[in-house]
Amino acid sequence: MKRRDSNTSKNHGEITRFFSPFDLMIILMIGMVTFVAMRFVSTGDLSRKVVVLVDGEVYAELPLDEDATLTIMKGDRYLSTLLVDGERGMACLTRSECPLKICEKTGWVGPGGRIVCVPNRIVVKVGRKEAQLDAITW
Amino acid sequence: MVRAGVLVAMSTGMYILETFIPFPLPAGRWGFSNLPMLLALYTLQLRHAVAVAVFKAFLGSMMVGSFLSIGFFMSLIGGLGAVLSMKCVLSLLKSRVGILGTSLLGAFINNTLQIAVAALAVHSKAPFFYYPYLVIMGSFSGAVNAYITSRFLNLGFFVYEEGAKDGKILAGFHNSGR
Repeated sequence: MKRRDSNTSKNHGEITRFFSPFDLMIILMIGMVTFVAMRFVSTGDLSRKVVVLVDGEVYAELPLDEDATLTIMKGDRYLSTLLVDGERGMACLTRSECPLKICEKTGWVGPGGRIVCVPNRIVVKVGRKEAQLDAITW
Repeated sequence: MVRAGVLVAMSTGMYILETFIPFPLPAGRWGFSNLPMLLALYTLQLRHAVAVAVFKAFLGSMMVGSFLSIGFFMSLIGGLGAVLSMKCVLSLLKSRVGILGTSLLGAFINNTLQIAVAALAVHSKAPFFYYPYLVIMGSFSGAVNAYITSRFLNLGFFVYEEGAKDGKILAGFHNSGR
């Protein structure tokens, strides 16, 4: 088994290149795929709302202009609490029942933002402002 | 085998340390634990690199406490996908592709699969919201990994020496200029 590791000794003679012109093609491809994927995703809704999805289904829709506290439950199991700050137009999750608290660390999220809590399958989407200037190209 | 074990240990240790390093995005880590994976791919064989990816996901998530959670599956599937895609590129294009391109492709496939697993788990495409940022961060650490790997290879570290018994190979920098 030790002897037939033949292709492990290939680095003896030639030194593997750090960069080759072909790498540029890979970088370009990655950039293009990411750009196309971004276009697909950024078709956000334009309303000023906070939408809470649990398991991909709409759990609640709240206006972004009023303070609110929403307890998110699944059956009778507590998952998390959503806070909406109407003055600043932002939302966040607190006191989540999940191991890593990634959703809490996301913090306050403004229009266009998302909070994703993977263990609890919660997605919080905050709607954009009415007119997004960066969506218009002349 | 010994070298594969050392790389697994390196990878797992880096995986655990990485959870303490702050990352600009709420989820995710820098991905420097993929450096041993890249080293395994270049200096050992495919099965060793696959072993590094699998054991990193298993041992790392057991230590961090996310075993069998979605984070574990993201890590496992992302790592496996990265290893296989890098191997495909390497065996298809041989030395026409550099370490940088290979590493960036691996990081990209890793990120894509992780986001896809997360999206499947929450039944929503919302995780893709983080996709471009994650790809940019992943490309950065992928480039760093590629640079470190190329330094290692140029030093002759981990290169199999004819006649040396397995295990002795770790004795040092065989072709090093030091």
